[in-house]
Amino acid sequence: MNGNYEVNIGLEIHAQLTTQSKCFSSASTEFGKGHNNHVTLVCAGLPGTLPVLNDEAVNVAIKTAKALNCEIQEDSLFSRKQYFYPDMPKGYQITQYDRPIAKGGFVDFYLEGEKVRVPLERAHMEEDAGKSTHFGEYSLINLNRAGTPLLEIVSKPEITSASMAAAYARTVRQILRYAEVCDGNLEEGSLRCDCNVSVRPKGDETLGTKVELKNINSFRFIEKAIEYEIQRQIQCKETGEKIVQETRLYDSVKNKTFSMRKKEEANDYRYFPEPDLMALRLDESRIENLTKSLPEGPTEKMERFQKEFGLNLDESILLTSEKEMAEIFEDVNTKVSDPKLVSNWMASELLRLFNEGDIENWKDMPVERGDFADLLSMIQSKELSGKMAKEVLEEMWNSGKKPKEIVADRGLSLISDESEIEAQIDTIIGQNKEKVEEYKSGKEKLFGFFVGQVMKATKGQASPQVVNKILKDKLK
Amino acid sequence: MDEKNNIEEIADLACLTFENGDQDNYQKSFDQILKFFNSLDRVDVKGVEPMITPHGIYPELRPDEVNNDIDREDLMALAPEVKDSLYKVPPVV
Amino acid sequence: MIDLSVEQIKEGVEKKEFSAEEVCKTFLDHCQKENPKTNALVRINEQSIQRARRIDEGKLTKGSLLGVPVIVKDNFCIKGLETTACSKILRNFVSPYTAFCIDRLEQEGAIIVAQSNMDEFAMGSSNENSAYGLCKNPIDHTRVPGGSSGGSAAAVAQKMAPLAIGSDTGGSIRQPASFCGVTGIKPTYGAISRFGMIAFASSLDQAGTMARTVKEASIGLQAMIGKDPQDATNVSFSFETPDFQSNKKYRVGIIKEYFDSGLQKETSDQLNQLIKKIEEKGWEVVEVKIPHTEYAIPVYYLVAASEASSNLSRYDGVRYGLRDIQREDGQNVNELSEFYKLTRTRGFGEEVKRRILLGTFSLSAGYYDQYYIKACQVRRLIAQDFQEAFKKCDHIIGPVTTHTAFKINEKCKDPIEMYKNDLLTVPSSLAGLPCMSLPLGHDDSNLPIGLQIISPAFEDSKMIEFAASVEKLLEDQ
Repeated sequence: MNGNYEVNIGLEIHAQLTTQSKCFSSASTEFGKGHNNHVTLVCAGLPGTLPVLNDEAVNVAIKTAKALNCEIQEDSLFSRKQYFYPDMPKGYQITQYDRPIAKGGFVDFYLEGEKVRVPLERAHMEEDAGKSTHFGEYSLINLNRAGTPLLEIVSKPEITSASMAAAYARTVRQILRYAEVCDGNLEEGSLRCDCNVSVRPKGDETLGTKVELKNINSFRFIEKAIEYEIQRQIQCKETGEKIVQETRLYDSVKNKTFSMRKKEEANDYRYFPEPDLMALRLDESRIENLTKSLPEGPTEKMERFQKEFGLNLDESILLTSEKEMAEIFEDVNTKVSDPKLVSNWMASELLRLFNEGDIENWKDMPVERGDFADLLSMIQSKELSGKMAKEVLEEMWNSGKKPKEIVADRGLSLISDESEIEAQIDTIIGQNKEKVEEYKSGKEKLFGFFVGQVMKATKGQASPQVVNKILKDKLK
Repeated sequence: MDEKNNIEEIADLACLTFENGDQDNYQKSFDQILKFFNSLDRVDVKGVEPMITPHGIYPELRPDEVNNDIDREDLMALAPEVKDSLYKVPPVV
Repeated sequence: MIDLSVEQIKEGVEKKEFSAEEVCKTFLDHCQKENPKTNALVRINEQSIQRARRIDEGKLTKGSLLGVPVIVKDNFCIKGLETTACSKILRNFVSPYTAFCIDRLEQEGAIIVAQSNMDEFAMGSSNENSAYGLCKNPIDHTRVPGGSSGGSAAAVAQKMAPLAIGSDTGGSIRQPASFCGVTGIKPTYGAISRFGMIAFASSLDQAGTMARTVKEASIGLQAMIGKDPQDATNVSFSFETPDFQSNKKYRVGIIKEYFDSGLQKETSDQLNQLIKKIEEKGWEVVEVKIPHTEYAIPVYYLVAASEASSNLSRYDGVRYGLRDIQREDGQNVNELSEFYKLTRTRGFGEEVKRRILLGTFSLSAGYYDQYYIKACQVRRLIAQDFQEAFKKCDHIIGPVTTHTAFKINEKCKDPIEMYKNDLLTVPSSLAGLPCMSLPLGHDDSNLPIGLQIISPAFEDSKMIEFAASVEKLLEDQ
């Protein structure tokens, strides 16, 4: 990047809040399979219908905002944002404008080993639009999504690079998933991200003209789109071309942004307070109870893992990347009491199986946490070697069987492991140097003594053939 | 408050247009009404909280329950044009 | 039979002195006969006879309105019936659901015999802005019945039903009641659920009743009041059955500004006579002030038009109602923004469009604070004026309008003249107060004069008690 410029990026993240019914109507929020089958009289904006705010949507909004360290406002207000579009049935969107439910807040995360903080401007509730599908001759409108509760999380324009923006967005997603307030699926649109990008010459007091990038459906593309846009804007500055305040879309195939709206003038949305809803007042105890119900956030958990378990930054970042993964770690470690062992096994073998497998969420892992702990315990007690444990784990993953069962079925045990027996034999040979000499000088009867010692050391479970074979080799 | 306000721009925002040359009529009555409303200039409203709805009451919220109050077929039957149970409109340019 | 009161019909049906079907048939016939004289009705509901039969079959045996024919303004959705708010844009819209308050009436045994004419989307004071043509004043066919619930008022005056439902945003029940010589009640804002009532101005719209007497209007009102979880602005409050024989003494407020507003001579004379009677009765009469009265019209029209401009955005030809997209050259529009514009331009009438433009302007960038917010601030001052006034009195009486019913076409060329007609009804609407109109007398041309009563918020029941006492006082004249 050109060192003469400063970059300012602000993100507006729209998160669909997990509720049963929509924000202002009793239609289901289920991801609709059929067309227009989650549409009530209110959703369709029929004459005479009125919005009534969903209590649970407010709860989920409060939880989300608290998870993002926002200040919940005692009084907030809904407004109408007015524009005509066929997927907006009333001709306006009910949203919070000048009095949002939450202000301030911040998101902490680690970027290239450094802790960084993105401060938030606000978070406000609003209803989602429906979906338009465009065909050349006409467009078709599905209102299933119309009215789904959203929380729009607005960061301050203090993000300074594309990678920081992507990391911030990933962290927000992670926080929302931890709090179980949004499933965070970018492709299905349950999380959507608009990026406001501007550049200014270093030292300038005011921000440069901002350009909004819309509808980017992956974190990787967020990074690439912003990266492209920064370069484009710097190019404009260098060549003296005017940067227009506009909305641009990202073409991931060409890795380019292009202008979406031709009109330079901003829309006049004619916001005014929604007279059908009146103000929303939240009492302190409600906010308090919801805050208490929030689970530990990912960054806090990650920092605790470092402190409590002596894990390094990378290990704890990996283990806390998904809430369920962190839970597996803590559960298993309670039984095994060896954080390094658990962490290593999760970061290598378990993660490999997860990545190779066809499940998407750790909570669907086919291996019981207790069984995984048992397996690690068998390694600790030297019942299984690392190599054997890998095999067993793989079968556990594929069959869901208990480790003991697999060991028994396969006749697997430490004692059938040649290397383990060899180690035992080496010890015994080391302890009986005289007898070895005697044997080597012809006293072949002593072979039986050595076999006996190995059997004793392995509690009689070693395979005689293996013992014989190794002993013969060693005593040559 | 007495600048000329272009009725055409306002109509555009409201998704209305003028047919049969009635634009001048609207412009005339619009200007008259606004002039009449300018009497509000005389009222001192410093520090007065705008009254959006009559009673300062906080509404009850709705329990998060799903309740479908109309069948899709009945809903679609109301629409001027439908394709595959979707509302059909001209292309969005 | 058409002279029977709400209670008489209910009792007769209950005691099987006559059948609900008989009642229904009589009123349907009377509607058919009377309607051509005024055009008070836009649809007569012949199906209602089935409903009456169900009562006779014993499917419903109790209810304060058992078998009572009711006429409903065309802005209340009724399942299975066309409901248009007298707008072309809702032509052929058959509602798939019934408004909460209408459902309440039906639960009490009411029979909806017809839907009444009105100003389009309730925007008007003369019933001249209807897609179904104007409605004439039944007392003088050259005059307007008032608006916007002109059809309901005329229908009651013509005895097409003993009870009619209207809606009042800035006087739309009281003013036509006054012009047609009937009683009309607008309850406190929030008393009756607005769910299913086609919105004009959300923060002002209230359903109400019209009848020949205070008691009949009250019975209808009581049936409609009730908590509805579908309307967030609906307030839960107890409406106790008024004591119609009450002998209470009152402190009666007289608004100075209302009497100074250039009243027609007969109106002020008759009001003064009433005041004299009140004093004779030993009630206290106090002069109160609503100093911001003169601003009520701009405030009302700004607030109502702003909200309306937004409430009427949903009429776009996509999901229901009119779609009119044929260009003048016969080709169909094939572009979205023109599609919206044509449908809306052709679907809405002139006055509705004027108010949409006004409201759009008042909410637009750069004008919002100057118009909409300013109006909302003055609105609070008006509400505070009433709060002050009610410290000195229990109820306020005054005129409904400065003049009796005006001539058809007299004011429709001049919107401001038309708006000014609402001067005395909008202040209490802005404050969300319960208010009503009852017949006071007649002017020299035998046109009805109305008396307005305004009461403190949520004292609807007390207002009706007081009105019943005043009604008796006027009868004793």
